[in-house]
Amino acid sequence: MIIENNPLLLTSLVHPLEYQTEKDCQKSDLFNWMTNTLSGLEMKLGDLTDNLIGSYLVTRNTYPRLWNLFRLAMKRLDCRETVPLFIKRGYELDAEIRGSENDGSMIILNDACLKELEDDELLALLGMQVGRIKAGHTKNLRFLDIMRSGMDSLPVIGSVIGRKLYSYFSQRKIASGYTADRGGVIAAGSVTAVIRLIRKQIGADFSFIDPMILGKQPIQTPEKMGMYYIWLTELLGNYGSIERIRELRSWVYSADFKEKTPYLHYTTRLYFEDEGTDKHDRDILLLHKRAQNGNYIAMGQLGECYLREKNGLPADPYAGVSLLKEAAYHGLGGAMYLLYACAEIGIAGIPKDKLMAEQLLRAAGGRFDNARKEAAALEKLVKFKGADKAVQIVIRKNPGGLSFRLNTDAVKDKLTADECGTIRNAFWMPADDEIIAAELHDSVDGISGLVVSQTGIYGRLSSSGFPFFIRWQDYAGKEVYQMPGDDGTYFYCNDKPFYRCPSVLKGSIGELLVTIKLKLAK
Amino acid sequence: MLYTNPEPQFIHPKDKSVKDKIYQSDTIKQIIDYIFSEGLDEINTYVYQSSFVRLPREHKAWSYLDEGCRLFKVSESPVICLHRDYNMDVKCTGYNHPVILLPDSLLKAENDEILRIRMIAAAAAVRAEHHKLDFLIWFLEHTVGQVNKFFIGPLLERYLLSWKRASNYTTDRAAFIACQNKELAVKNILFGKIPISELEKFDFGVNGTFSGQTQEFFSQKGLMDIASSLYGAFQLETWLPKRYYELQKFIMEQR
Repeated sequence: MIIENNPLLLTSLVHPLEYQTEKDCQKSDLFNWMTNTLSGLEMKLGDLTDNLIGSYLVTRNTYPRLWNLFRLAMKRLDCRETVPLFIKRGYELDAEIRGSENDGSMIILNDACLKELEDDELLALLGMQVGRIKAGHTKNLRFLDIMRSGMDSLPVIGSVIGRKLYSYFSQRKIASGYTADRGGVIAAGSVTAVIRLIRKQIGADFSFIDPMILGKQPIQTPEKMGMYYIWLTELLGNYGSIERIRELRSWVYSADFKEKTPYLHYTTRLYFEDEGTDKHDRDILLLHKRAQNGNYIAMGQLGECYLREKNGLPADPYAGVSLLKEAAYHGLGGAMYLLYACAEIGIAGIPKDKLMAEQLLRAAGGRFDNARKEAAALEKLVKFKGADKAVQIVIRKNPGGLSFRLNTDAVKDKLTADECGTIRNAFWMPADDEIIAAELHDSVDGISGLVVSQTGIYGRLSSSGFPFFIRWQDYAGKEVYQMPGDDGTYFYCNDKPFYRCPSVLKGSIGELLVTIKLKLAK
Repeated sequence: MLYTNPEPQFIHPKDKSVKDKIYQSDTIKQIIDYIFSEGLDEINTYVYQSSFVRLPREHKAWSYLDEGCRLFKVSESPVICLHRDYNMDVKCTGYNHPVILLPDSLLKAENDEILRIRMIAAAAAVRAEHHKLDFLIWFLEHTVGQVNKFFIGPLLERYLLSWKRASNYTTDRAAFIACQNKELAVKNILFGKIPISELEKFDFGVNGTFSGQTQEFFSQKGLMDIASSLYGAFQLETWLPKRYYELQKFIMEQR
C-alpha cells in the first residue's frame, strides 16, 4: 500500500544539527573566504562531461522503472531543478551527487542498486540525493571535496593539511547525512524503507537482525574525535549508520514528527516493536498493525480517524485518504462514501471532481446503507439512451484473439464471479451495473485497465491511480482525442486521459472505443 | 586431534619474525605511542560501533568464534560486526579492542563448514595479534603514506605488507587445525576467490585440481622473483599458489 506523503514533512527536511553547523561555519572566516573565492571563480568542474563520458544517462525509455521513481522523488521533495540521473557500475548500494553552482547538480547511482533494492528503498536512496540537492549540498559541501583534492595535489604535506581542514567541517558533513536521510523518508513516504536501505548498505539485511538491536547497540563516544575520525569514516562507505538509524528513530518519536505525520509515526513504532505507553496508545498501535497486515476494515476505520480526527488521533488527511482508497479497492462501501465526500470538496491529493464524486457515491450505494438513497437518485441521471447501442457494438465484436474479455454467456472465457467482484472493487463500480467487457492489467499492486459497462466506461490508468468513470452521454457528446503522454499515447475525454493505447490498436479495446465513438456520433 | 597445544605451531615463522622486527623498530614504537596519545583506538572502536551492526550472540558464527577462542587461548571474545563486502574473507581490526568483520557475502554463501573454520581462524588471528598490525597498516597508509607518497610511505608499507602477506599463512594453518581436513583447508584458501559453482567441481587432494597451477607458478621461478619484488611488494594478499604451497608444506610437516 502506497501512503501519500504529507507535504508538511518537507518543512522538516533540513536536520536541526545542519542548521546549527551551518551557522557555525558561517562564523568561520576560513569557510567564508573559501566559499566566496570558489563562487567568485565561477568554475565549471566538468562533472557533467565526466558523467556523460563514463556513465549512462537515465531516460524514460532506457530505465522506465527508475525514471518513474526518480520523478516521484523529485515531485515529493518539490525539487524543480533539472537534475540528470546517471548509472555507473558499482558494488556499493549507494548514490552520490556531483556538480556545482555553475554546472548544476546531477545524481550518479551504482548499478547494484537496481538489482538489490526494492522500489521503496530505491525511492529512498534517490530521495536522499534529491534531499541533498534541495538542502543546497551541491553548492555548500562540494567545495570541501574540491578543497581536499586541491590540497592533496600539494607535495609532502598537502593531504594532511587538506584532511585537517576537512575535519574542521566534519560536524557539518555528518549533519548533512541526517538531512539526506530525511529526504529519503519524504520521498519514500516511509521511515522503514530508509532503515532497510541502510541495513542493506552495511550488510545487515538478515532476518535474524532484530530492529531493536539497532537501537540498543552500545556506542562509546571517545573523548577526542577531530581529524582522525573523519579519516576513518572516509574509509567506511557508510560511516555512522547506526547513529543515522538512531537519529531517524528520535525524529519519529519527536512531537513535531507525530504532529505532521502521525501515520508514519505509528507505523514506524511498529517496526521498532514498540509496545505502547498506555492502553489507548496500545489500541492505536494495534489498529495500525491490523491495517498494515491488510485488514481493510481496519484501514477504513483508521482512514476515517485521520480524516475526522477521531479516537484522539490528529488529522493526517493524506494518510487518511490513502487508507480509505485501499479499503475502497477491497469494496468497503463506507470508505467509498467518505472518499465521495472528499471528492466533493477536493482534499489531500483528491481533486475536486464532480464525476469522481458521482462514481464514488454510485459505488458506495450498493454497499453502504447511508449512501443508498443519494446514490439511487444519481443512478437515474447516469442512464443514457445511447447506452444499449454501445453495449451492442461491444457484444457483436468477435473476441477471438483480442486483448479484452467479454462478460456474456456466448463466450468460453466469460469473466468469473470472483473476477467480476475484484473488478467492481478495483474500478469502484456500483454493484448493479453490468460488466460487458474488460481489458485488465494485473500487477502486484492491483489492477489497472478499462471496463465497459451498461452505464459507461470505467478506467484506472495505474494500479496506484484513482479509478474514473465516463458516462455514455459524455462519451457521445464530448470530444475524444489521442495525445502522447509521459509513457505512451492516451485517449482523452473531458481533457482527461482515460486509456493508454497499446502499440498496435487493432484488436484492443481501444479500437473498440473508436468504433463506439463513431457509431454513437451518428 | 593432530595437536594438543596449537599455539607454538600455528603462527607461521615469517609472520612471527617480521612482526618481531616491526615491534623492535623505534619508529613503530613512537607511532604506537602517538596512536594512544591521540585516542585513535577509541575513535576506531567508536566508528565501528556506530557504523556496523553487531552479530547477535545467538548466531552460530559466535559459537564458532568461541570454539576458536578456546582452541587458541584467546581470553576474551572479540566483537563480531557484519559488513557488506563481496570479498568473503573474515578480517580483524582495532588495536586493544579487536573487531571481527564478518562479510555478508560469506553468510549468504551458506557454507557452514567454511564459516566455521574462518571464524576459528579469526580467533587465531586475534591470538596472533593480527588486528594490531592491521590497524598500524591502516594508520600508516592514511598518515605517513599520505605525507610522502613517493618515499617514506611505500617503504613503511612494504615493511608492514610483507608481514600482512605472511599473516595469511598463519590463518591458513589455523583453518587446517580447526578442521583437521586437508581438502577442506585447501578449499578454504580458494573459497570466494574462484566462482563457487566451479569450486564444487574441484579435487582438493595433494595432486588435486589446483596443484597443477601451483607447479606451473613455481616453474616460472626467475620471472616470479622479479614479479614478486616489483608487483607483489604492495599487495595486501599473498598469491594463492604461495598459500597453497605453504599450507601443503605445513600439513606434510605434521605427519
